[in-house]
Amino acid sequence: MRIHVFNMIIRVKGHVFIYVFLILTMLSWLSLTALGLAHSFLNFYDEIINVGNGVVITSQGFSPLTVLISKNDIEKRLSDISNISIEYHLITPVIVNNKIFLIRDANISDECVLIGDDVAREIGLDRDKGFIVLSSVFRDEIFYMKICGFIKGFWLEASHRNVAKIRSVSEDYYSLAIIRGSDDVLKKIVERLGVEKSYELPNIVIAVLPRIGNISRVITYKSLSEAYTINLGLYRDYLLYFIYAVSISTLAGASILGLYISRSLNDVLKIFRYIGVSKREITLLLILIGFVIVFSAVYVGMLISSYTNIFTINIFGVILTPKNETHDLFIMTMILSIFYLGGVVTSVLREIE
Amino acid sequence: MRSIHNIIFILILSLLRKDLYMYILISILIPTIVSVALYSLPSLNMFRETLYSYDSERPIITVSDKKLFSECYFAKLVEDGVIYVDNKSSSKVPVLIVESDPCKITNKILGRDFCVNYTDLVVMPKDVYISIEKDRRINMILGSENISCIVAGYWSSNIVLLITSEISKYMINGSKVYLCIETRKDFLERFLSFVENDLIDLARSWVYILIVIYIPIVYVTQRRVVESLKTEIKMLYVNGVALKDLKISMFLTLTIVYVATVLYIASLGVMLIYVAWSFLKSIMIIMPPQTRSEVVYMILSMIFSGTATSYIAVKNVVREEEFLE
Repeated sequence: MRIHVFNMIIRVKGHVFIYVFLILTMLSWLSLTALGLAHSFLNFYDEIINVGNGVVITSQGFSPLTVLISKNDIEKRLSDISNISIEYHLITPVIVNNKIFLIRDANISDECVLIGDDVAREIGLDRDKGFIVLSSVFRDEIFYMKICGFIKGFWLEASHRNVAKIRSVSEDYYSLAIIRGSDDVLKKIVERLGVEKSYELPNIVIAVLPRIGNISRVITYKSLSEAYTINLGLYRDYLLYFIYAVSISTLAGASILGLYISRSLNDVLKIFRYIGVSKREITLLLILIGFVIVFSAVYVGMLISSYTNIFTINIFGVILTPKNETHDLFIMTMILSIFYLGGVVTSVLREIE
Repeated sequence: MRSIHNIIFILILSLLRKDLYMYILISILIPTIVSVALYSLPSLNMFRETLYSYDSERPIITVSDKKLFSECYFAKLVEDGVIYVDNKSSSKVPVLIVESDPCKITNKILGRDFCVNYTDLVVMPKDVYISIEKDRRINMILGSENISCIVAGYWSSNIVLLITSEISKYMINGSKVYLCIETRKDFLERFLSFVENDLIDLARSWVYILIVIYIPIVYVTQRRVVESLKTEIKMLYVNGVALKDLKISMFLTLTIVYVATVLYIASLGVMLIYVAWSFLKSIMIIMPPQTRSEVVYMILSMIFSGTATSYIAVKNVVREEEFLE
């Protein structure tokens, strides 16, 4: 009986479900895109700097592109701790052809610069051209560099000496240091730096604030991006909550579609009631169909969001595309189900006699 | 016309009495609130003072293949210049020949005027300069040209800057570029405006798509409202009101309620954002919202689309055969 009813409702009123499916798919795509972009934006520094399992030491500032730490200072603090490896990174903005990109230090010759493929494309660089002129944001000077090759990505790479020149600092300075070692050793480092409150390893980020006299204050953060954005008054969690609120609220229209369903199916549902199908069975059937529609809509929406780059954010030439986390899909499916199926149930209870 | 006024009045009263405006309110609440919220995000230029509180008048020098703003000078970049000092030649150095008033550009680059009439000037890389006395005349070979000029000073760049009042007098092949100078403050403002515009463009496209997706949802709601007023419409029809007048009245009723609801939600949204900010700023660091005038276009496009769907909903529901039954 149920299968028969199911087949008939799909055959006769299939277009109504397709209409609902298309709208829900678009809503899911839009919501997932907003969430995905928010994740990409909030994890911007964590994406471009691969921290992995390590402790990051940086200083207070608005971004790793403006803060500085002294290699001597770090090594003095950690001189008696063995079995660790320290990676130093210096990253700074650089102007190429009037656009801002990022340049980082690498083990290459002082005369050379490596250009990211995407940078070359963005500035319309002729690949046969043997040189490039870089401008510093921190000093009123320009630098002529030979192009020694191309790399993947939105970066430029040059020797540490050259990047330090562009950043207008001595070669002892870096943006951040990543310390790698066993968990026990990393704990020892965190304690040595003066962290007293509770913390979690790995991926802890430690900001060593500028010295005030001989005192250094130390603050820990959950993520590298948070350590910097917080200084601009942007609280990572609050931003995320805002985007979640916007994304979830966009799905509210699904409840209206749910309310619309039983009215559109009214003629067919009346016949079902006449031939003896119970109201409960009709409700269950519409919930089942609704859940299939919601589930498919969210996953098709996710596929569209992943494979079409209609919405992107450009930061320092780095193109951020939406990146959704698994729990986003779960949340979207759940919220969309609540809205849509809530509407369906309400409409069946009110409309069908 | 008077009768249409009366019919609209009756229909609006019935719509309000049956709480049907709630359907319209729910259907447009989200796109309106989201538009207002996204168009009220704090302006990035508010970070300007925080980011560049010092040295904001110092220049930033850029080399570009386009003239982007007023203070850009036509230039040529020659890769293999050779400098002669006391008959000793340097290794090949890149030379940027800039066409400009020497007084003006030296002031920007060296921080002081250095003017010598009818003579070209050079600003040397620091390491080359160290071996030369200041104000000294040097020779430079660029392509087939032998140029004699006076050293105005040094900078930390690895490029020799040759400042000339007339670039065309040198028949030298080189990359044609522009040397542009702007203050850090202007540069930062330009950069922040660029990022902000990029984000606003993104928000605009996102909101427009949201409005488009909501069009069928608004249509469904309006259709439902018209269906719920069917009894009143039939009653008016039976009492001799022409179907054409009924259609027009119903369309105008829907449009009036729709427009009023959109405007109500939008103004409420703006007010709530500012009230929330004034409360939150006392407990946390939070940038002030800045409602942009573009939100008006969003509201207008919502009103336009809503009016169109009202027309379709009325046309599809209020049909002659149903009332003649």
